[in-house]
Order: sequence, then structure tokens, then C-alpha cells
Amino acid sequence: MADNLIKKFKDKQALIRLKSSDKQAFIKAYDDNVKEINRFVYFKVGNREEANDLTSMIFLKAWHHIQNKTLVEAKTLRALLYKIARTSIVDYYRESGNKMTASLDDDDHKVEVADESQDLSDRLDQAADLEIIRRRLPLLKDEYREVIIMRFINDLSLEEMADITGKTKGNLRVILHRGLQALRELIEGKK
Amino acid sequence: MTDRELIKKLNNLNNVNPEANWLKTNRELLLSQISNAGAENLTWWKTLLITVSSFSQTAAKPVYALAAFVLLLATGLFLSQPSLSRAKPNDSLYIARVIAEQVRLSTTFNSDARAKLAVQYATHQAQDLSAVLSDPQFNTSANQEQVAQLSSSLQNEVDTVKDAISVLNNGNSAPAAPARSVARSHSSSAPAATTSQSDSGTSSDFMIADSSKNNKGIEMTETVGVSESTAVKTEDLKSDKTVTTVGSSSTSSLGAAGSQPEINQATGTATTASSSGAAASSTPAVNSGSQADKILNEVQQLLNKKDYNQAADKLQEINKIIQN
Repeated sequence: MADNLIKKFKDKQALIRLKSSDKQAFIKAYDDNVKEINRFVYFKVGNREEANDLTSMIFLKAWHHIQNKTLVEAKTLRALLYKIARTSIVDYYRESGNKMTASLDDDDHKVEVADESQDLSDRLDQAADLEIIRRRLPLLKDEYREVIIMRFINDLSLEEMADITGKTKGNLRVILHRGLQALRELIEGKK
Repeated sequence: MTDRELIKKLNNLNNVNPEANWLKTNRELLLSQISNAGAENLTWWKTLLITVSSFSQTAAKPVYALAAFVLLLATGLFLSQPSLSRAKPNDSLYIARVIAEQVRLSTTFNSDARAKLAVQYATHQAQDLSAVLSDPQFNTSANQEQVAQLSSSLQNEVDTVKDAISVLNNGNSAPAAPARSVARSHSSSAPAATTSQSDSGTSSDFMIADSSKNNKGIEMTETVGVSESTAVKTEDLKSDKTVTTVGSSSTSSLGAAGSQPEINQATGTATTASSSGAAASSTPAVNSGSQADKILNEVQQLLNKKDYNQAADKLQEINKIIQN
């Protein structure tokens, strides 16, 4: 309860400071959320360069939305960034006219796992997991992929996901269950 | 592969991050872009103002919600009081009635009013229990378990009434203390005059025992049941003769050999309390409490005989006495 209130207070404070054109608040918001948003975009579009460009654009868009008082209805700054990310990805697909059908990056541009605190065996295991999933995830239906990234990779709560996607928690649970089932079938089918 | 294993593998992907170089250069780039768009460093007082504002916005909702809840609860209890007071012990709303009464009791801060209210509630509950138990449609062999439970509850309620009345009596007996001290002051000249209070604590009876002997050698012991007398007057408080007159409704016992409490004529010492303003005002309240006590004993006897109808009537009587 108390943690929840503190979190709400910090979110509210960050949003008000951003509305007041506070540079420091923007830096903090960027540092806190950039990795998560970049990861979300990367697993959605499947290309590192494009993910980086889109991430940069998302933060700039968020700033303009807040300054111009054209805020997308969102309870938290995190939810706002995800909402802008989703619409930016849709715009990206629409403009480029392509949709991700291939795997995440090609074999020449393997995904880097930037966590050097893990020991070698863990990193190898993780690399193997990543290799399997990075090849299978793009084959998953877009709806399933999105909720799986948010819930199991970026660790969002169902409440936050409901705020971002506009779906009910019950609906999200069903989609998550089906998504996991579909991903498992894809992975086991490959093996 | 189970769902758990798959989720664990997916969780591992949380470590997939963009390159550190890109993070740094992109940060610089974005900062320069927003600086051109009017971003600035806020002054400390503006930051403080924002902090206060965001705190009040965050705290407002829980505070409003709590206030609304309390208001709703109070209104609900207030409005539902009449309908709840009609709930009988075998109704589902009965528990709500008991809770509402407890709330009302705990929100009554005047101790006299609270004691009165406690007697009233306990009497009502006992009365309702008696009414239910005296209902021939309910009190059947099929409902023996429930009947036994209600009988036990009724006994508890009667005990509660007793306790509440004793609290009320104790509360009322406090102002009577000056009357007793008056009595003591009057009898102070008598060498062996003593004032003692009944051990039971439920009655305000007190005994004034004068063990002094008159010149005829008769030992006088007078017990005055103040709670049962409507008035105790001392007349003719003369130097040579003291006559104590007990009111017509008095049930005081005169344990002395003499029929007239003519005391210590030789020494002229008064041994019985005279009435005072304080005593006069407190006596009816103490008296009503004592009357209620008496009726309660009758109720207890009726309950032992399982005469619930009569018991209910008697309880009604107690309530009337307490109200008056």
C-alpha cells in the first residue's frame, strides 16, 4: 500500500516536472526507461538499428506530447512511453510497408546480451535460450508477441498492461496463456 | 518444456540491452533537441512547489476515500437504526443490530447516558429473546438447539442488564455521598456511630448502627434501606430528643427492641441522617435502580420457571423505570 503510494507520488512528480519543461526530469525519465522501451521495440521490430531509431523518436515524441498538453491518456509515465511506442511501431510498419516476418536480426548481427556479471555457463545457456526464442518469437502472432514481451521480458504488471493496451486483465490473461502455448509449440516443433 | 521453464527463458531476455555507446550518444542528442525546444533546469522553489503539489494530489484520493467511507458508514448506521431495532434474535439482521448498538454505545461519551443506553439495549435484547422463546411456533422440539442457544443468550443479557444497572447505580450513588457524610457529621457526636455500605455493591442500602446504649440499657440498631425509602426525614432534632421518621413506603427494618427509634435521650445525640438537598435529588435515581434490581430478580425467577411471557413484561417494566 505504502509502496504503491510512493510509486504514484514519484510518477505524478515526474509528469508535473516534465510538464514544466524540466530538463533534469527528462534525463531521469530517459535513464529509467530507455533500456526497457528499446527492448520492447527491438523484440517487436526485430532489427537493432531500427529499434534504436524508434526508441529515440519515442522519447522525443513523449516530450512534445507532454509539452503540447496532447497527453495520451495514461496513468503513469511508463505507460505513456509504451503507448507512444506502440503507435510509433504501427506508424513504422505503415510507412515502411513491411512487416517483421524474419527472425530478430540475421546471423551476422546476433543480439548482444549485455550482462557481464553472469558467469560463462549462464551466459552460454542464456545465449542458447535467446537463440531459440529469437528465431521463433517473430513467427508468433503480433498480439501474442506483444503481451509476452511486456509481461515476461519487461516484467510489467497486468494492471499496467491493461492501461497500455486498453484490454481487461482477464482478456490479457487469456492472451498470455494462448501466446505461451503457441510459442511452446513453435519451439518444440523446431526441436 | 513446461510453461514455467519457458517463462524462465523469457525472463532471461530481460538482459538484452542496447549498446552503451548508443545510450550515451542518444542521450546527448535528445538533450540538445529538447534544450532547443525550451527545456530548462527548474529553480529549487519551483521543484519544491511541484513536490508539494504532487504529494497533495497523491494523498488526496485516499483521504477523500476514507472520509467518504466513514461518512457512508455513519449515515448507514444512523438511517438503518429504526429498521435494525426491529430485528429479532432469529433474524439475519440481528447481528447488524447488535453491531449498530455497540457503535452507538461506543460513540456515547457521557457516562450516565452510556450506562442508561446499555441498560436500554440489554433490556430490549432480553425482551426480544423472551418474546421469541415464548412464541409457541418457534419454541418446539424441532428447534431445541436454537431454543437452548437463545435461552443461554437471554441469561447472558439478563446478566448484562444487571451489570449495566449496577454501573448506573454506582454512577448515581456518587452524588449521594454528601448525604452520607451529612449523616456522619450528625452522628459524629455519638461515640460508636458507624456508617457502612452493603457488600453486594448493587444496592445503595446502607446501615447506620448505633451501638450506644440509652439510659434504659436498650441497644438500638437501626438499618435504613435508603434505596427503598422514598424519603428519610429527621424531625425534631432537638437537644434532648431525636425522633427519626421513616417514610410510609419505607421497608427499613428496625432491629431494635423499641418500636420508636427514640435514641439517646439522655445525651441528646442524633444517630440518624437528616435529609439534605443532595440526598433528596439522588434518591429517586438510586431508588429506580434498586427497583429495577428487584424486578430483575423476579425476571430471573420467571426465567427459571421458563415463563418467558411474564419475563418479557417485567423487562418492559424495567425499561420504563430506567427511561423515567
